[in-house]
Amino acid sequence: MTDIQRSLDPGRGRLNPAVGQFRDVLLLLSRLKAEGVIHDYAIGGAVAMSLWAEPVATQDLDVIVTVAGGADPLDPLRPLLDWFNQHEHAFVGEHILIAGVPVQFLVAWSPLVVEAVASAAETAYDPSDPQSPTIRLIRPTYLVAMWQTDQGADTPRRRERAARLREAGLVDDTLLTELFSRTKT
Amino acid sequence: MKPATPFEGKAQWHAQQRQLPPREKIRILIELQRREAESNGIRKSLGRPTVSMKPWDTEA
Repeated sequence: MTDIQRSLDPGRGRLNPAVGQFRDVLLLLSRLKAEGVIHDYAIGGAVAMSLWAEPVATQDLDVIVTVAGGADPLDPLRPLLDWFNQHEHAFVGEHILIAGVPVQFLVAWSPLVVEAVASAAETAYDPSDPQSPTIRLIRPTYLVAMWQTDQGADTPRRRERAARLREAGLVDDTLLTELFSRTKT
Repeated sequence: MKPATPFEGKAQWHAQQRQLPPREKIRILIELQRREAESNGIRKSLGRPTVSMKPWDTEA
């Protein structure tokens, strides 16, 4: 049996048994917000693109957070990192391992990104489950705006992701133009 | 309804994929990670560059 056959046959011959469930990541993000460790959060990057359009393989989960006003501007993630230390989560390089998922936390780095987090879409992770946690996603037009305006973000891979969102009819060009004009002023 | 052309059929399939609920998309994403990691073994055996990919230890 090949690895692909194994992976298509859930529960049989797994190479590595899963250590968690993705919903646990979402529950923990909600807990961080409820406990005031972060002000708000939204999922960005390739996972957000995957959930708006079609799934792609990606290495990590990008979670963009906003923090309370009193945070140290030189070390804004400190309260969050301390929380994970206290709760004995594993750090793997720049990621924190949550339920088997390497999560990269990024503090919203510009007014555009702060707005993207605040206006994120919130939906049920599993609509068939009444107990499903919610998932907060940066909206497609904001994803494209972030990828096209931030220095270093405009890579061929991100241009392809933007094209996927456009192809799916998910990008609001009027809003995008407005976001660009605001970002430039 | 049967698509008029192969490309129309593909477009319909992609549209259906986009409509899947988040949990199902995460399941597919993890599946794609596993396939990418397996493909790396083949790439390596052929002396080709590999793609950095470690499947998540989680279930959707």
